[in-house]
Amino acid sequence: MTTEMGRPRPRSLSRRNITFAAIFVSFAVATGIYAYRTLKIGTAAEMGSGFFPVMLSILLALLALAVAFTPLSSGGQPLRFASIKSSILVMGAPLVFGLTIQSLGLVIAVAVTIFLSSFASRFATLRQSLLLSAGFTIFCVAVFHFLLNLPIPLWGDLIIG
Amino acid sequence: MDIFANLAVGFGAVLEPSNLLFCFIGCLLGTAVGVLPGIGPLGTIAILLPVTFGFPPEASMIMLAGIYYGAQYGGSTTAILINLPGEATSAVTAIDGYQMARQGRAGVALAIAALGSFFAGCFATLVIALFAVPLTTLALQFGPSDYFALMVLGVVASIALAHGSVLKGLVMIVLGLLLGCVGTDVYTGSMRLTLGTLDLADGIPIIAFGSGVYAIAEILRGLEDEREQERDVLTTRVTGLMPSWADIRESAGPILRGTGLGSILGILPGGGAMLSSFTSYALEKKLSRHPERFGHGALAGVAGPESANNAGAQSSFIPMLTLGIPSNPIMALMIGALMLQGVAPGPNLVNERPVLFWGVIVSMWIGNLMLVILNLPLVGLWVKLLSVRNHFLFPAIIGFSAIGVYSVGNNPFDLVVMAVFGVVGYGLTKLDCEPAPLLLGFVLGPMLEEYLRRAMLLANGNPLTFFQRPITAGLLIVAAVTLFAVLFPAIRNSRRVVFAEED
Repeated sequence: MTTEMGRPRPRSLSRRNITFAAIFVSFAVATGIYAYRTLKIGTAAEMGSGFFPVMLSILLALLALAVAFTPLSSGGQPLRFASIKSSILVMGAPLVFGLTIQSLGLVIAVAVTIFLSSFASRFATLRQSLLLSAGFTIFCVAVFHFLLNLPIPLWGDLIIG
Repeated sequence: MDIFANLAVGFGAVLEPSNLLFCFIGCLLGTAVGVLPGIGPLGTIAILLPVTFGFPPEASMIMLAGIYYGAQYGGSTTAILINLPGEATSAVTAIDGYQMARQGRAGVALAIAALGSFFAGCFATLVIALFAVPLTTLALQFGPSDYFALMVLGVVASIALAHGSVLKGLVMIVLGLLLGCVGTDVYTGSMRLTLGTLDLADGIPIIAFGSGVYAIAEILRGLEDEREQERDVLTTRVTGLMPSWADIRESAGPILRGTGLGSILGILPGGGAMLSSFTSYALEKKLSRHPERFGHGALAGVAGPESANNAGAQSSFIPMLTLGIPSNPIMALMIGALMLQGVAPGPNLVNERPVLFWGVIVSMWIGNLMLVILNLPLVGLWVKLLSVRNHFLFPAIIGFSAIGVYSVGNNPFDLVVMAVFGVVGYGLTKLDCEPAPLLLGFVLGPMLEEYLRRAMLLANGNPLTFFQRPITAGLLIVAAVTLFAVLFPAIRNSRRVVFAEED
């Protein structure tokens, strides 16, 4: 899937807008039902915790439904996605950091996160990535640990025990 | 007038060496991210917000503000020298600025851009100082229903003034409001939409949300089409920084008009730097005796928008400081910063934290002075920064934001939130959605709900209360008219003209 099907004709329904509506209507319905079942609605004078979320869900569903019937705006750019490798590396980077920060500590978490995410670029080389991650780790430790005194341990539980 | 006494309080705060340093750091960082394409003030503020957590509130706000208006200066350098908006608000500057550079007048363009920004910055600071107190006095008389109506108007206007589909903008706002509901309900104490996890008891962490939607999604967009960058830096040595008399005379009008325009448009909800610069360009082109010169190196096409974006950036602080209502996503993050610091934003800010309030205002003036010095003589240094390759930059941005997100609550779960919203943010851009209204709705959500509930409680559940109070009714009518107007084709077309320059 790299390009939108042809040039969108004016007035014709847009596939992208229908996808949009489908995603948002299902999200709104799911959230609305979830809120309605778990929260109290209350009355207009004393609104329960569910009043506002349920109202918003209904509004969201209606608005999203309306999008399905509008043609794609002329400014719409052709669909283009980052490569799967790049996407996984970039989107996964925060998770890598989250998984390592407590067990391995700041130094290793930053180094690994930078090292892995740098390969999202086509131009990454092993040597450059190693240098980049080493340099940036030193910089971060200097700034966050020594300069700003953030209470994040340099070494994690697994290392210090 | 006790405005002088107030300004003295501000000067007292800013001239403290540590605050002066933070102001400088903010301006320096702002210029840097302004110069670098691919990272803007919004992402930077989102990343650095948690870092400022440990600072005193004054220092933190002064620095974050510096990043925003500093980026307006830096953005023009890239726009003029390499025909690439270093910052979105400089997109129109590139049109004529780059042509000037090709004609060997880069120095003049840079100098006029910086001097125009400086003038605009000083003027806008004065506007804030003059209007802040009367506005807060007015705001203190507002009841809950008035606030509710004001926020509705703000939300509607922000979509009307932004570009892109109005309907999708509304969807983004409502989605943002809905996401803002997640967490503990302040009235009943019950958990809402937390998916059963305690990690979301305090709501979706705003930093993780912002970093995901902006940093991660933006990086992925940059990686879509990666080519060997051939940034054609036009003049490695910029000479002739001193504009001639004729240049100054030619740009005086555009600078004045741009400043006025920016100061007004910045206050509007949804306004700010971007809208101001686009509108100013359109205005100058209309007023010019030589409209055919626009696009071929017209000085007015640089002077006007550059002044306007700086004025707009600064005057958008007015609703944030006086009412506690963000007019654009950057202000939404600033409110987030205040709340993280334990400072309640709103009309009481000026009385409760005068040092903070006036300190931030005066810091803008000092900051502008620093920026002229940073940007003009040191322009060569910033040009060098452009040779940093993107593929060295983005891993660093990821690393920085990950540390930032984690440091707010030392909770690894926040990084999951960041990753999830990275995916969401990237997906939304593929569906032609702007993330800005999403963030605005997210921040406004809890406030909007609180005022709605309070208003309904006071009125015993009678929705007519929104039409009985004149201020409320007036604001809601303006909101309705605005919404109707943007959905009405004639006005939509003129709106398109204003933003047509962008493509």
